[in-house]
Amino acid sequence: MSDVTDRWARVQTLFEQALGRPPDERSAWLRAVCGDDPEVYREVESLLEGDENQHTLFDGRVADLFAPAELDAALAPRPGERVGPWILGERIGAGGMGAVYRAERADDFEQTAAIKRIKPGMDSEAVLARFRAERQILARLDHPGVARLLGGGLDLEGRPYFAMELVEGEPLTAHCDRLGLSVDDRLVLFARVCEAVAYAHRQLVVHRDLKPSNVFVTETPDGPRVKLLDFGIAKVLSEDGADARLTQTGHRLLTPASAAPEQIRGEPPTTATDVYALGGLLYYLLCGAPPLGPGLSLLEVERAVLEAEPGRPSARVTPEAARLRGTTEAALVRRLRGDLDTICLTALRKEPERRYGSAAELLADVRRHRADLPVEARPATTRYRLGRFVRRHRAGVLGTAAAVLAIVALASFYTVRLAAERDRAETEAATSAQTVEFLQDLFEGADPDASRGLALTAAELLAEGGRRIRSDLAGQPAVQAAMHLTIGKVYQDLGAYDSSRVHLERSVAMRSRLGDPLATAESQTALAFLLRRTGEAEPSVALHRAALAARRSALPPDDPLIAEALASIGASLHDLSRFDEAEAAYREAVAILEGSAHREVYAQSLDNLAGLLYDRGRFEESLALGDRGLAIKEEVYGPVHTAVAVALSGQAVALHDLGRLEEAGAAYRRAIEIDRELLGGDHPDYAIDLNNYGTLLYDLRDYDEAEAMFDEALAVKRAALAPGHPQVATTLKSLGFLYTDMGRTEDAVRNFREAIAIRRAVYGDEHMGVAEATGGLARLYTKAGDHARAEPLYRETVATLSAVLGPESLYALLYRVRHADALHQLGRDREAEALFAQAVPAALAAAPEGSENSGTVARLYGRFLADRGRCAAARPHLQAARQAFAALDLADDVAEVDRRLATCR
Amino acid sequence: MPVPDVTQLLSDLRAGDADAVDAILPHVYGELQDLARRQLRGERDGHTLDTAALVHEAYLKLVRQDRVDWQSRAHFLGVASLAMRRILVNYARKRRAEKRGGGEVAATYHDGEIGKEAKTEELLALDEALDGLAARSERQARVVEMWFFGGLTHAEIAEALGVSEPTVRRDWRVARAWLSHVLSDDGPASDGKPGGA
Repeated sequence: MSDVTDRWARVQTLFEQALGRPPDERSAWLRAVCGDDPEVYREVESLLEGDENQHTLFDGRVADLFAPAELDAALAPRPGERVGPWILGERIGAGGMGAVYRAERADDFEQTAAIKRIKPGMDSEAVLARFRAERQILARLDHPGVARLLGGGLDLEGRPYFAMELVEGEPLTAHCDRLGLSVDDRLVLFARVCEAVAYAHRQLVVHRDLKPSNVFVTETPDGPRVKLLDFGIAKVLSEDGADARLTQTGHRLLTPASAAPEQIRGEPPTTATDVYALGGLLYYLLCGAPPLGPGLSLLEVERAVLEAEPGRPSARVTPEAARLRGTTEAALVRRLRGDLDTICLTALRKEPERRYGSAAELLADVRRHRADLPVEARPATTRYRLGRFVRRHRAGVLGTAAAVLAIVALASFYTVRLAAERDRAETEAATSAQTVEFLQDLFEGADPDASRGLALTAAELLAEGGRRIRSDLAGQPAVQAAMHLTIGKVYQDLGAYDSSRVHLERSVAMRSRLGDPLATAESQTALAFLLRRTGEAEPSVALHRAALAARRSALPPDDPLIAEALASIGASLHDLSRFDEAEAAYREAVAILEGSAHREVYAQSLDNLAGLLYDRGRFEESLALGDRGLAIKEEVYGPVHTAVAVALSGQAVALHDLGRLEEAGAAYRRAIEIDRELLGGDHPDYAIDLNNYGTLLYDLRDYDEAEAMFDEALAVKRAALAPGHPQVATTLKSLGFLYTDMGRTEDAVRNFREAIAIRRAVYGDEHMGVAEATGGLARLYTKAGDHARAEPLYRETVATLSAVLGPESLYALLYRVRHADALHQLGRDREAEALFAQAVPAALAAAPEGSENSGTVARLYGRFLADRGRCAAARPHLQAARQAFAALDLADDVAEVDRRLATCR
Repeated sequence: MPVPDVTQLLSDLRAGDADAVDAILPHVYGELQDLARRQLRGERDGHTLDTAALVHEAYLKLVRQDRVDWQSRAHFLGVASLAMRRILVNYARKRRAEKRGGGEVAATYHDGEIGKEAKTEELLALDEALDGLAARSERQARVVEMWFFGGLTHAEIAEALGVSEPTVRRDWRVARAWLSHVLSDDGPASDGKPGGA
């Protein structure tokens, strides 16, 4: 017994004894017995008082502290709203059209995330499109300094959402001030910010909203790490007409350092816009004050951003700022004067072209300063900088050259195309000559042999081109519109869909104002292709139809441009699974092109039609058309040409799926040969064919060869494609299945998991590809006997397949049966039984009799019944399974069923 | 979370394995909430959840009736009372954090139906004071917990604690007196020491 409890026992005894006495005698009695201990006396007195004046709490029980409805809320908290695999927690941020929530995974994976979703009522087509675009941008960004995209999809109400890495920490500015970091320490962290922004610029992504609250520092075991948040929010906000609202509320502009002059002027932002914001951030980090302000009204802020030159940071130093940087006022002024002043003010120049061209250049100067090298900041035109940039990186990579060549090639193509058009030859020749001149001017100084930082250079060139359309080509709207089209197409080829859209929409608008229906149709067609790529098939069809109408009224009925429009309409309808209309459009295109001189376009249309028929399950027809397309391509291009390789791969896949494995193998090998010869061993198309050939070898149980194919395909894809590219996931998934069959469980798990992560990020949760990978992983766990891990994955897979293909589809039913089996293995037989009863009859009806799938269903259900001791019911199922497996030569499966039958007599 | 064998854990608890409480508690906690949710769904209107009823139902649901005796039942009701205390105190803490943090209120607790504010501050003060009481007498704190949070009768509490009913009544009276003093305005609730200097 401790002192406390001893004492308490004594207090309690005295209390009870006192209660036994008349109330008016208690005090005197107590004082007498406690003579030696006034503490105890006071304590017992308090108890007597408490006994007299009972707290109202004890009039009832705990429920009485609550109103009935609140008690309900307390006892039965509604589980957080479920969004995909996530459960939403509190809201951690909100913007004009979206909100961000903390979330946790609803399943066994322990993971937190920030979920961004569109507010109800804000889901206009335009907002949805921007939202999807933002997600695509995030999917491309994989950098430790950027909050990662984890996945996304549709919530229960069908509104899109996506999940990002949840960053816990504080804004960089607050972090530096809280810890009183020195200028040097601040520069180290600022350099990290520049690295992340430079990475984004290389991916052709401009953040556009780099205010301090979007630049976070989070503590990690390896020390503080910088994270950029809210990529693309500004983009989403500024292009859906929300700018006006924002300006009114001052939501963004009240932070003077974060809006660049061109943003206030409503001009398209570029990498230089981010440089401006970085300049503002650096300014604050160095001297503790924003460049312009503080304390300005909204109008004053706008004017200041446009007109006022910020003072040198060294002139803004206060004693407080010096203290927070662990130094004296005079020392801080000396530290900032010179290089750091110049770097800040260069980044903050009003004219985008006089700033650093990119975050990489700003970073380079910060590093030079830290290494005591002379900084490069000085008045210079962007063109000068571009030239110097390219010279500096002469050792570079092929990519820049490729991008530059793509632009030039497009320009030449455009020139030729324009020149060929009737009746307007002269005007157009002039236009195209000016276009070429403009491009040459733009690329002057850009060395096509230069390679490193190549995407950056390409981005810079395009951004610069886009900027200069307005100034250099003023008064020449036809040329401007043509340039917007060209640049838009290049952005599209580079996968920068947002930028592409800006230019293409402008091109369409300008040309329709100019009243040139055929030119408008051309721009509309390019925009329609873009919309198809961004998944907006409906508007894509509408634009193609508008182009088709314009061409029909201006051109002869068999003009190849009409066929092109029809084929494009067919492709978009195909995406929408509107097969009848798509087939009609394709067939009309084929009819126009048949016998025309445009043999290659004709062959491509045949390919498209073959693909559609394949999807409709009309395999023989599909193969026949594909053969015709292939023959024409061989005739037009010769036997060794990439177009021939494309046709060969299509045929190979069809033959493969039809079970004509030898012919498929031959077609794959030919395609691979051509790819290797013409594209080189590092091209993604080559890797795709390797991958597909690998799956054929896998089906032939030639595991070693299959592994070699997959390995090479993966290496090529990883080198050639962005880290989160779905093509990478395809091969990872193939390896997952291969390793499963080879018994290499760990390798299989690793590959499946990476494939699932990529596919979730790219497609959202509700997609066949995600189900394929989760299902594959589940079956792997089953094989390894880890039913506890398998069960939730089966559940997830069934949900996905039910959503995508329908709950009565064969695959959803098959996985429901596998799920039931997993429940059975876990001893949850009642759930298993219910699920079996629901799924088995439908699955057996849907799976072709005697197929491996029907055998699997019968085997799993038969095994369940046998395990439950219901042998009479089990036997017919097991026998049906045995028959199916025996006919397919699946000896292991036959043996397993035989063992079951032996124990069940 | 795998379902623990609550029945087995209860006999471990009786055998003196204190860790058994930690093993049972999370499960009982979740079960109470599930039961509450289920009841709310079942009722159309005019419902009120009853803490005591929930505690007893959780027992019927979780413990295999063929393998327990009356003492295990009492033990279980004791654990369930502790779970009930945790649930309501956690709720009160969240409410306080929302009020003080000024941040976004979790959507879960946005509820238009809630008319009057819960006396969450009193609840939290009681929770804290109970810890002070437990330092003096663990058993008395359990008595309060079972009576106030679990809604148990004195007879059930006596069974759970393995003492007589008069003992429970004595414990209850002194505990109530001490808590009333601590929780009254002049009682220094912070250090849980009545009277003071």
